[in-house]
Amino acid sequence: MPVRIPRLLLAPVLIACAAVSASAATAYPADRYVDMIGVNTHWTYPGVYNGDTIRTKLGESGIRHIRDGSGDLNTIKYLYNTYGIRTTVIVGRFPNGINKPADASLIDDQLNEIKNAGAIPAIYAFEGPNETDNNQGIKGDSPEADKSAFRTWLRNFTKTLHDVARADGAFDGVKLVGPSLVDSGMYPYVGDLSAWISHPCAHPYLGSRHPETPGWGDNGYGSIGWVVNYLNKPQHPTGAAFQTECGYHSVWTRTYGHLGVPEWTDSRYLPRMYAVYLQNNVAHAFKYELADQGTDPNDIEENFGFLRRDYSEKPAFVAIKNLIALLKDPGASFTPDSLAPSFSGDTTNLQHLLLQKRDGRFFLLLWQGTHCWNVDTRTAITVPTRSITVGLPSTITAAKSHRLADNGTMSTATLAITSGSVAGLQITDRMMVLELSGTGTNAAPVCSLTANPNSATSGTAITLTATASDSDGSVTKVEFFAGTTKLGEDTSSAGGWSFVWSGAAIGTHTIVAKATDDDGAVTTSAAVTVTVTAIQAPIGTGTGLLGTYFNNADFTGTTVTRTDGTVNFDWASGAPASGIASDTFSVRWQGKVQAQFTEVYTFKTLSDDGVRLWVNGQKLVDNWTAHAVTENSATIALTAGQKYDISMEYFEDAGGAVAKLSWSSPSTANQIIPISQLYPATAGALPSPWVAQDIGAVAAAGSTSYANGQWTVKGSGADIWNTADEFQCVHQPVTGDCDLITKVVSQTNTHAWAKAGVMLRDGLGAGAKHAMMVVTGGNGSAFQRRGATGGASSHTAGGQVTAPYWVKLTRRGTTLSGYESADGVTWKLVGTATISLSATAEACLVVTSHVDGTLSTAVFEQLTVVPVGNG
Amino acid sequence: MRHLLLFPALITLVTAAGCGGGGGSASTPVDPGGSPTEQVLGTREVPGAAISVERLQPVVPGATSLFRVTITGSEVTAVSARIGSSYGEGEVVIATPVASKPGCFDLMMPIPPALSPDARVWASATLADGSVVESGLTDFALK
Repeated sequence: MPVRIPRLLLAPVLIACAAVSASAATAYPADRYVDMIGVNTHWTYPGVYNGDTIRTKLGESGIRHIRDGSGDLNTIKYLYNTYGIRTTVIVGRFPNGINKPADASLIDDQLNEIKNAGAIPAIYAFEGPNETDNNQGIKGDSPEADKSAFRTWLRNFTKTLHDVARADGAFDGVKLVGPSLVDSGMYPYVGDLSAWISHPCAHPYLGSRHPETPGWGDNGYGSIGWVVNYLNKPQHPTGAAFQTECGYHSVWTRTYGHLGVPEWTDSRYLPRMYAVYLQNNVAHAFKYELADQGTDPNDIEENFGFLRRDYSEKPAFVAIKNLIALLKDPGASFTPDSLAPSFSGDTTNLQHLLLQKRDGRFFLLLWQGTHCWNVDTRTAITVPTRSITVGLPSTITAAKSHRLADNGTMSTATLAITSGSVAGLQITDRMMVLELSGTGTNAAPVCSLTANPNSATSGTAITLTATASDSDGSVTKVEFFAGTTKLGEDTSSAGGWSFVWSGAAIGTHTIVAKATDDDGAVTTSAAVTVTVTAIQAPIGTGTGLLGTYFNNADFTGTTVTRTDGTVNFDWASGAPASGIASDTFSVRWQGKVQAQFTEVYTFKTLSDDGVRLWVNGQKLVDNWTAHAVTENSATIALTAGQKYDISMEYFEDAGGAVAKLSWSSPSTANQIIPISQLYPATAGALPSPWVAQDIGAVAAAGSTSYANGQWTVKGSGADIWNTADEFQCVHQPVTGDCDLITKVVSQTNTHAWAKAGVMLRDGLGAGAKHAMMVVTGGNGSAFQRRGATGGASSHTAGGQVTAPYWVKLTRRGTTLSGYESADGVTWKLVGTATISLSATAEACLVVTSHVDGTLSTAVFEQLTVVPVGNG
Repeated sequence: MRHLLLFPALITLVTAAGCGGGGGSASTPVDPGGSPTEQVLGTREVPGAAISVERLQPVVPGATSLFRVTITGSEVTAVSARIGSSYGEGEVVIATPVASKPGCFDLMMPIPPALSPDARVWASATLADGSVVESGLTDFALK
């Protein structure tokens, strides 16, 4: 870490703080003060950041937040797993040196290392690169070209960090913090980064000044409030700031630059610094740093520590540790109460901060906000003790004081409350905590619960209704639990406190409601029991799926068709059917599957080799490779009793041959899909997900059938040309680059411009953009296309050929190309065109007769749609 | 990349007709210089029109030669052509309309120094309705 910022350290102007008046105030949660506290670490520094002692000192302090470069993920994980400490990680790698811009392309590497190390739970936030304006020599008065280049780089880096982190759901819980800058003029110059960060960031050091300093320049320059308004807000107008470096060093003898304070002064200032940050809505403040980096009394970098180089505790560390122990109150968020203490007596420089714990106790932090160290003479200033009286409401019946000494220790005393006041309270510039408690400050709510019905079958919605009230306030929410699992909550009493529980699993459940009142008190209702039983699965009348067996692995060759009751085959090295070889064969099972429950089903295939599965037109499995026995699965929501199209394709390369299809759901144990739920396709049905329809206003309806690997397509229509089309279209969606190939086996020549072939089409409108490669009735092959919806068509002639002939259409980005071939092996390019189709286009077989009202029949075979390189 | 659409020819729309007979339907070539080497390379039907190509001068590798493209059956706004052995090959030449001969366009085409056996004329026309029609793989062979 570089030498700290002296830039804010200008001529001191010592201004006395105004006295604090009595006023009603809503307390902050006491734990908010504790959660404010962070500290910088350097786990990759040899020597000082090494061994168990420093880790134990940190862990036992109760500090929850550290900031680090994350070079030591093992320690980061250890601290989280052992103490719950979470790390704000500085992102940025500098392959060209620290005085050059960090390389944004390496963000992905850094985040992946964290992910791969299993360290994500330990990460609290990602922070932009550290003080890079200083490292690159950029200042507010640098040449405009240099500053502009810096700004462009830093904004791009911040955006890239956001995009990379948010592209991976694993990092969703990690906050994004802006980059720190050294030159205050660079904050407004770099500008608003709130599109990519949730919290702004700065490194405000006060030098040797006290935390309540009003600043030492225009607009309170240098004060904590000025930092928030003039450094944080330009970076993010509303986000609570992370001040990721701050605090004091103890080289109090230093006479230039970044001045320091003695350890005893640090012990007074640091607890107050966190309180002032809380008053200024700062989220977290990270003291620089955990331990001194050396023992040179004149090197400030070796004197910033909470701990000395030998890990002995400095007074400020002891003070913070004691405050954490006193004020910590972890748990769910709650809304604290208000309290209106009054202050009288000598209130000169009096500062206060009101906190409250969930148990109702208030903690009133009191101190004199003034300096005890002369920044010019580097000598101590005696701060007079001032006596005040704190007036309290009648609900407060007990008071204690917790006072910090200069060595950081805390002493506690019970105070008398007389006539509603604590009198003679001695206030110094060392923080004192007045603990206030009472009786009758809050009565817990009452809560009861009913479940209707409390005995139900699977899938039944169960209404949970609570009755809740609070005698001295109001109920803010009611939560509903099954055991320890929260089912939901109701935050409005309108209509009663209730929750509808759907999807209860089969079994007996113990349900409770928990009511929370406006003071955070929680009452748990008596438990009610809900029993959920399985419903009888409705049995279908299915007879299996139509199975078409091909003697080749690509759905060609000799075929055998039969009805298979289930798909549950292990042919080992044998043949699947008479006339089909034991290797290099393929099978297509088609029909419908009938769901038994309205639930999300998981379909599983077990195959050796390739397998594809569609249900309801949705591709659930696509593992079209030669492989050993492999399970693939995917889910789909189905409705009980409804029948859905199902198609499973399979090929066997060599060796063992396995093809199995099973399902499961919340009410269905994993099982081979039973015959009762499978219905065979009728002969001629199209393989899913292919669908046939006429496009445009054809005068005679077209039709399509499929059998034994051949497609018979009958189409009418005036043409596929000009600005709108009429034809029979057999289509399925295909995403991204692909090859679409078929053999046009035959074509009835209704007209020289009758067309049959393949097309990629941007939707199914009559004027849709498209490209196609077709064989015509008498004008040879052609590559034709329409580049704009409803626009003119274009034509490139192919060879003077007729069916049987092969056609192929390819898509590579916006380039579409048509090819022809006599044998399906040697292809000739007919033409190319640049057309911007949607990412998902329709892959089509097309037939138009060019004589509207008359059908042209074309037969196709060996139709393949091959996605190319889409990952 | 083909540049045809980047350089739209400024041609007055004319009614398609044969070139040789002053409006007749036959496609009789004009004799540009009495050369005996004139040759009709063929006709290709395209949607809404037909494309015919004639060679009006001898083909000498490395030199230039005059060709005529005739579009019948549709109004035409621009014609271009190139010489090559496969789709996309060859320098595109923009055609000049022949005065008083609607549908007829002349092109002075550079002949490649090494003329491959399957070299052919690839003709392209932009029709009045905006469609583009192009000859193809088996059309207008030079040899």
